[in-house]
Amino acid sequence: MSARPVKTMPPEVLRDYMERLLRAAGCSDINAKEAAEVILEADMRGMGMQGLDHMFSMFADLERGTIDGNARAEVIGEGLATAMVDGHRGPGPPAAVLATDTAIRKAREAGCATVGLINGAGIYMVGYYVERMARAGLVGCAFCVSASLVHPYGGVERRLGTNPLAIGIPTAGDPVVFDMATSALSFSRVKFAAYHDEPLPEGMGVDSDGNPTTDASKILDGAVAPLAGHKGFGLSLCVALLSGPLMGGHAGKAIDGWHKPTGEKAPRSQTFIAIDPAAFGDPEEFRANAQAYIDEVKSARTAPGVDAIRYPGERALARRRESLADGVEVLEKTWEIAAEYAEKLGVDVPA
Amino acid sequence: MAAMEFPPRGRPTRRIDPAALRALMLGLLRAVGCPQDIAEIAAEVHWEADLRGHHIQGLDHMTELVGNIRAGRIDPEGRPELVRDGPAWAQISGHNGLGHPAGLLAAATAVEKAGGAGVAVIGVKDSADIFLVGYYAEMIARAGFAAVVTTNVPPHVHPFGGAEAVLGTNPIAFAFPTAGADPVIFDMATSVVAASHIRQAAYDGSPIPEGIGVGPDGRPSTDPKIVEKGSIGSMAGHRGSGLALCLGLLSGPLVGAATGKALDSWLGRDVPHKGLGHFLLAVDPGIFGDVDTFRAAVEAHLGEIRGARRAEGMEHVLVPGDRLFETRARSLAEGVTMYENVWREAAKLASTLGVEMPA
Repeated sequence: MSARPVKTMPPEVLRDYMERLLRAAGCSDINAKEAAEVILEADMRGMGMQGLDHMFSMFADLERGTIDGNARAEVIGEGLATAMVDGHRGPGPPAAVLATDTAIRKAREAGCATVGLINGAGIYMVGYYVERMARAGLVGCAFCVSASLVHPYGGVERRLGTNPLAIGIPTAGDPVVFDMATSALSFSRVKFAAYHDEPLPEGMGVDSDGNPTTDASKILDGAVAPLAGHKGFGLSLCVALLSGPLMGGHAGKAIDGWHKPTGEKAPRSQTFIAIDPAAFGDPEEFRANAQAYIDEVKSARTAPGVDAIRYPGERALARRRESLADGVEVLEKTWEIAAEYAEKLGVDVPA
Repeated sequence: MAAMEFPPRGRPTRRIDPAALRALMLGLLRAVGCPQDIAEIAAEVHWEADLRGHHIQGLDHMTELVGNIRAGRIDPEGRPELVRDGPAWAQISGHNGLGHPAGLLAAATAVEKAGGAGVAVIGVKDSADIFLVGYYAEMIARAGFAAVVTTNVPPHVHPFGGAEAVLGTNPIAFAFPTAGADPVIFDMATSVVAASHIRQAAYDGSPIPEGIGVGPDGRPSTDPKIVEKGSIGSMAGHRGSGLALCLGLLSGPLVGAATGKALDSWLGRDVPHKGLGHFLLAVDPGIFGDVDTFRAAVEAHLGEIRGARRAEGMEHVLVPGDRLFETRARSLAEGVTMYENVWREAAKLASTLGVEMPA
């Protein structure tokens, strides 16, 4: 794969640009600030597909009114170890932060907590929220049903979302942050390949006629394969059921519109689970044991040609440190598209 | 794809009378000192596995289970006990007994706690293998709750980029109530294949496909006997590897159990013995909305998926668990399918214990 051209800029400049874009597109100051925080963290971690590039879909949704830029999420119900957060169809990231912080609060009271976020939108980098729980000392899990793009095992028609799941675990050092799509490739990986006319590996998807293809733009009209065949398919289905129907929300066709420029969109929903290690024993001992296991995994003999074994989240946090020191990399292509939006919205593009 | 099919199809099988199979399992467990009630609970899990066609968790595991009891790693009379709890969580000690009763108590506790608090996390420590993780998830789903069950397993798997076993095959199961009679149940190992497939290939010395495992020296091998001593890869590279690591922490250190090489005594290595751990989560759909609406929405999504256009050469698009209860009914009516090599291994075990094999 040839290197994709990138632009590098200081994090504060990118953050300010994101906030101004979001405000101009219709977000309140507080929603723009909170959403930019989550979205910037994706770019800083080298997850550009959940960063600035992903904001374009929010601009379209704000313009059509499928997202209300002024709406603030609120906790509408609480039980002993559960809570329900209503996103009121506002931007996803601020609502998801509220749901995450509610899960942390409830889990500290009850030992564990499950929080549902309903009437929401896309929440971007799912790992952000579980990392937040892990940094609060809790084990965190998040499950997100997304619009259909993925075919089931044995089928060739999109029926499932890329349905990511994430797990965050505190250790004695940086937390473990595991964040995966249950599809062979995430939506944005396919989109980025399409930007650059790069062929995808075989077996990653089919075109709209159901024929296997390596052409990313044809896969975007067709369907992406599930991760590892029936295993990713099963995982995807379970993530959908946990975050859609279980929370009183939707999965499948009802939310298909989130990948389309027009048409109906039922609101999205997500599930956040936090567990307090103190319920089961000494939390310091837990962190030490978790760290010892990470060290054991990292010290395993490497396969030929491999320089190091990395644990989930290690690379992303290393990249974040680099971004803070040397600036954040954004794809040129993403930057160009953002500039087009900026012009339309009357926002100055940073030099 | 020209790749070799694994596990291979068309292996020789026989049909076993279901009642006779259950009696055999019970007899084997009784012969090594399990009290009747514990033996019945354990036999039930393995019997259900074979009935469902999930043969890697069935009779085939008796040799290992009996071996662990005889080696003193499992106390056949050990009984699980709830050691501490809150309204939405509980910690259970398996007291080094069989894993099955501990798993069963954990599932029942999950149902009870989730019924009160809306959600429950149950951790089990000082336990042994619970085998069919979907069995316990199914119990929770049949009580009306969404379920997630996972467990740590002694290390058979190398991490992504590694060539040494430090991860378990750490399986995870999910189960959900549906609008129909049976729940949807999904149960997978996070390794490229379950370790039991390697063991079964080793019975006959049949080669396994390239790219699944390495020997103890870290070199790729297609010899199951060498790979058994080495390690296998993760499902889907770094993603399965990361998932296995997280599940090992959830069902290990989080619940007060060990994980990784600390579990090597289970592989016959001379290290201090540590029990296995399990993690169960139950969530009440009634807390977040109307239960009937939930069940209907689950059913609708399953229906959409089954209705997808099929890939060439595929007869159906199935959702996890679709064939499971059909297979179970057929096994009960027509006899349980059993691989000849598994049956042969069981016969060897039965003979050493003086247990009679069914005709």
